[in-house]
Amino acid sequence: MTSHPAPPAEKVLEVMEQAGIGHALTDPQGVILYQSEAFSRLGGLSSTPIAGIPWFRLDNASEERKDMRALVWQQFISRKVPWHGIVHWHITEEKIHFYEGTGTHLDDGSIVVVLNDRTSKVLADKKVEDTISFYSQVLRDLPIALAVTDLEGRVTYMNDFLPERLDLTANSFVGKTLSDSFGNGLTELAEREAQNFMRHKDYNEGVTLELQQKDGVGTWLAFARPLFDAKGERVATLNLAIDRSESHRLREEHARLTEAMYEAQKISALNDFAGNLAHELSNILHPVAFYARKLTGDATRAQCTEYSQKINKGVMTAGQILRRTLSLAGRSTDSPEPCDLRAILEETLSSARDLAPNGLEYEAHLPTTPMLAAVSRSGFSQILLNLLNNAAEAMNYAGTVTISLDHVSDNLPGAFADKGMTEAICLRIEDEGPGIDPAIIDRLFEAFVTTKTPGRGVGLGLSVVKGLATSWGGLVTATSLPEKGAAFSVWIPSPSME
Amino acid sequence: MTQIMVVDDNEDVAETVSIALNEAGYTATAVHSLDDARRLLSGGNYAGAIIDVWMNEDNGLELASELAQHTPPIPFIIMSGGGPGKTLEQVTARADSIGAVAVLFKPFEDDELLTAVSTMLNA
Repeated sequence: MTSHPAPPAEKVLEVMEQAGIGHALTDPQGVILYQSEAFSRLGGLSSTPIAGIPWFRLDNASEERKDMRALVWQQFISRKVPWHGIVHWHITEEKIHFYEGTGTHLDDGSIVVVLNDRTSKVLADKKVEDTISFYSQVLRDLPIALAVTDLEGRVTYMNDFLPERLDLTANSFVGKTLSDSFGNGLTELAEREAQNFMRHKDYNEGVTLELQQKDGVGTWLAFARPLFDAKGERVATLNLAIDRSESHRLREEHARLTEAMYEAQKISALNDFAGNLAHELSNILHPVAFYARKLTGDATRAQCTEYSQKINKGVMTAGQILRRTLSLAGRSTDSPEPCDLRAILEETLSSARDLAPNGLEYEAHLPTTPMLAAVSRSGFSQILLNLLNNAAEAMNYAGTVTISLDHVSDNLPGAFADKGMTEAICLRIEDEGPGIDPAIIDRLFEAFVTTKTPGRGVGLGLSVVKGLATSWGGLVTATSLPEKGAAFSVWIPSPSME
Repeated sequence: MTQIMVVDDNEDVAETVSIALNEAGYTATAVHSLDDARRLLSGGNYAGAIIDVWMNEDNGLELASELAQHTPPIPFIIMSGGGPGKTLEQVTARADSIGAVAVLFKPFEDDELLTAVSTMLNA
């Protein structure tokens, strides 16, 4: 700084007046002897000093406050040291201005009081303080665990959310590293995220932390974000953790319930299966036992022949039921290979016709040449038997079952069209029965779903049909026909043209 | 002659139970559905009935309840070999609650049948 003569005192005073810095001369009691214009303006005083009243009693503050000021003034006078402070000057009871004031002792015992209006600065500072206090409260009450750590990883701020769950106070974490409190998970995450952010300006997923809490183990999803100052220097880390314990518990609970429900369904299905088997077998066993007892009585030779035939019939029927059950359990044994579907169909139809009672007809529309597809021979035969049986049973063994086997390229099922297939083999079996109950059409191919009356079947036939067809990449569809009856279609992929 | 109705949709069972009853000196009538049973009961004079539980769409326990509420009540015996949805214990409990004289599990001995029938007729 270059040396320069001081500006004239009067000029300085004038400039200060213009800047709103007022001054006054008082006696030791504080009674104004002289006041500048700016001082009058700041104090809201009349231009002539009010005799007998100290300057600090001239505003609209409460008497209590004025007495407090008097006390401070007396101390200032008795100690003979300068005073410097903020005066809350009450323009009205509500409206307050904030003046930075100084008091200086002059040699003659009088005092120079200078007031500088700092109202806007004080109000601005107060606003900042209010804002900080407001956001502190928001952070404290946020349902997210939040901690700010410095570059050494020490906690400089932590809200109450996590400490409350650990039965601790937030203060007990301040100054400690998060690694001390929760292991390295969070600190490593913070470092990784900071480096990642520096390199790519983005963040990764959070990490899951498990903490021992007063109410058991808590599961938290933690995130870390580097904080930068205005110059882009990393100054701290913001650590966040969301309490996932409840949703975690709910997810586990849901999985447990689903599993239990699935088990219950399986058990219920098995119970029904066992019930049906028991029903069928007991109805066979009772007559068998009855006729066996009669053999030991005084039966004639002819009666013995009749009874033993009945016993034999019953035992064979029971054997058939067992074999059917086993074939359901074992599914198909031979693996798919190119088979002539027409030949298998002809063979099966021929034995079905042999066994059909009067009034039950099979009308077949077969291709003129062999129709090859990769299926298991016994599996396709099983499908035919199941569907033909169902059809015959549905129409009470009277009427016509219509069977067709064709290459089809129109109206392929959605699942085939989605795979880009343009052609498939379709086996279609139509009956003249009552059609399919709409209540079960969606579950028709599930095991143990049956429309048959108890004792007539255990509801596994269609699930076997579906299982076999699916294993060859095919599928099964069912519809109720408009007039009467139902149609079942088995779709099998055509062998690819090489 | 003491008339007894045998109700079972399984013809073999209905037939063998009827034969056993006929040989013991009763007159047994075998029917295979609840409708047939109701029709005969309204006209005939039956001293009791032996009823199967699972019969096609029918539930034999329904008919049993009707017999219990008949004036005068017609005593009945329940027979069952099991079926879907209920255990034999549940069937027995239900049969007892509507007043079955006895519950027979198929296959059962002729002696079991005849003991139950004589209890039924003396009830």
